[in-house]
Amino acid sequence: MAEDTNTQFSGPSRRKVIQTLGAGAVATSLAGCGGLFGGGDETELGETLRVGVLAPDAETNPVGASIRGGAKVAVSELDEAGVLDAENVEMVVGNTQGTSSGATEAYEDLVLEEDVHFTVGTFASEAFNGIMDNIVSEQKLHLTSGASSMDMNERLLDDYDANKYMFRVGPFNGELLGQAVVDFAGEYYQDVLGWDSTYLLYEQAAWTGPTAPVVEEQLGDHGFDVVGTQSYSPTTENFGPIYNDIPNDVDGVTTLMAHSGVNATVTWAQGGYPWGFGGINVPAQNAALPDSAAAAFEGVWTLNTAAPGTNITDQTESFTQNFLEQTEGFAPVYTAYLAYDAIKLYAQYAEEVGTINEDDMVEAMASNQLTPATTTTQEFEFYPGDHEEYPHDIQYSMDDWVAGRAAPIFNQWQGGELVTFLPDAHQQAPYQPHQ
Amino acid sequence: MVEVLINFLLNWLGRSALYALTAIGFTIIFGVGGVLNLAHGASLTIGAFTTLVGFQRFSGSMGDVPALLLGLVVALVVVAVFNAILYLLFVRGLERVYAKPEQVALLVMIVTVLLALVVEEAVKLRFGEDPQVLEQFVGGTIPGTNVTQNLALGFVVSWVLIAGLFVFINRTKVGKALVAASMSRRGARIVGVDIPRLFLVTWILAGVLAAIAGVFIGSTYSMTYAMGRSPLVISFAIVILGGLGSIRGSVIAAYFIGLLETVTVTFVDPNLLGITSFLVLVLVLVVRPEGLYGRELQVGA
Repeated sequence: MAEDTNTQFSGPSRRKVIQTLGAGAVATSLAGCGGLFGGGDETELGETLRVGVLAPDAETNPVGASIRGGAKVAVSELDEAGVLDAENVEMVVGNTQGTSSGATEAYEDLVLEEDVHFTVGTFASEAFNGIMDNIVSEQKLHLTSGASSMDMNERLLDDYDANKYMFRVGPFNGELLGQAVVDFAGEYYQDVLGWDSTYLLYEQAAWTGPTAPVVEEQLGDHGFDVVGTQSYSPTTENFGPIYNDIPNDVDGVTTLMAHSGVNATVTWAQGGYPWGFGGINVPAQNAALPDSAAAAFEGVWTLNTAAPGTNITDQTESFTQNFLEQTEGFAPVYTAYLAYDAIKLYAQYAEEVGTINEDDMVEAMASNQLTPATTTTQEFEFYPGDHEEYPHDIQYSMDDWVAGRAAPIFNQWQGGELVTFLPDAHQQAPYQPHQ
Repeated sequence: MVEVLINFLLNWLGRSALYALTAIGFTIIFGVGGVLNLAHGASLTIGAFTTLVGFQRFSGSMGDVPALLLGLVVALVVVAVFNAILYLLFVRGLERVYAKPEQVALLVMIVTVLLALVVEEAVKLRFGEDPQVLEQFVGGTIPGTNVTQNLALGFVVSWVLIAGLFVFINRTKVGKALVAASMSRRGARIVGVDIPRLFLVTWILAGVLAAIAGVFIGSTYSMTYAMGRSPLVISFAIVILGGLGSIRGSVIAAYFIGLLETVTVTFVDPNLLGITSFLVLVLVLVVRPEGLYGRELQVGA
């Protein structure tokens, strides 16, 4: 089921005043010239720009609620400012239920029933993978914002023309996520975390498929010992037997965990293990964890895309504030930032291209002819369409994140709060070693 | 190596104790009432979350452990009422409408699975999908090991309850009536046993045992709206291995399944965790479908 969310404002907005003065006609005439990149005869945009937002269980799931909340903030801003000659900007939310079939149904509903112009969102890789065939057949732009699945890259490399309507605003794809973990380890394990040895522990899930091999292969290349590696079923509840295999004298355990993160962390916290604990831990990225669970996360660190209280760009903090006002204090998960970025990017690109014609948009977005945009997570550009590995993907630069100009950031739970300890430019508190 | 073995043993015993507690309730309802209660996992969920609410409400005024105990008491009452309603409203209701036990058994399965889904959705709406963690009754680990004292307490509580259940069944009139009713419902009725009241006691008892298991699961691992699913599935494997309706068989099977899981994770491959129990289930169904101990508590005619 889709949920309509029309963000209308009372009182005359700047956009409506301009419209009254005839600016709409100017926009239309510009669009009639084909815009900056030529292809379309008109914007193909009526009075209303409709945004399709794909989110898992937005009523109960913090990831889904964040996607919806982030999208709402973006749509509110665009409704005020206008996009091309659209009088209104509206969003419709489709519930992916975090599954392939749920996502497919929601996508079809948004595109065929709700007539949205483009879609953003998804979180689980399974959900994103589930709609790829539909994107190909419907030829509507999808700016994915939450899933790290590499199926997108494979499909684009395999058949670019058919799959060219997919772009990823974040997070980094599976391989680049693994690269970020390895880069972080090489740069900071010994100097900041004080880890001279580590043990790699990862859940065997779709999302770790491309990530774990990168980490497994490269983690030992940086001058510290990797004393062991263990994967496990994501349904694991009792981690005691797994932790039995981890030597007590190892300095820290490098984790790649999503679904199993809470149980793994609780067992670590309650078991009094002497080693530190961190890497990618998806529940730990949630600043709004229930208090009852947050206590177990004390000292856990995680890679993150963005988090409240951290200014990666000049847009990060203002977005966080707008989000908190909109949701009455519910702290955003990283998917909120990405959903916001995806919608704002689309609008900025549409304005620059002068049309929302999909083929013209794709041509411009994939050729890097557009002005680099500033999002909440970095100075944004996609890898170009002819990139040999990651076409249409968010660009990753270790130099940029070390310098504090781009995601990822590194958070640690300290005193019941999620704080940023790296990069230095955004540090809220220094890293606290595990006691 | 010794430390690894001790940790292995304690993990096995602790985990299995919680399995036993959950599976016993499931098996006695089948043994006595002849129906499969697929809302058994929901009792576990309700027990854990009600205790959490009680703890959060009372911990500020009376300290953590008393609040936890008070929360548990409230939870047991709530779960008892839930199971009483399950039995009186649905099972009895169906028995009044349908004469054939097979029809009732099938419809009870359908109704209880629907109710389990309702409970899941209600908990999801109230608490969201974020996992919660219940305060431990006792903190810290067993000296020299990584096993929590809380799990050890769960093991002790489990055995106290199992022993109490055996005493209850073998030494009390109600317990003997339970055995009698499981052998022949008609015979028990002839000698004056109030069958509906007896079954009501059984449903409440099963729910209470599941709720206690839920509280220990919630404080040792974590709890979500879906926390009842996995224990229900494991209970299936356990009662089929032990013999549907056999309490003794369920206890032994719980420890066997727990052993298999712990051995798999510790010595074989943690990725195979979800497979071993089901392999056992299939093997038992093929080789010895009546399970280890058959049916001690026979369904009455």
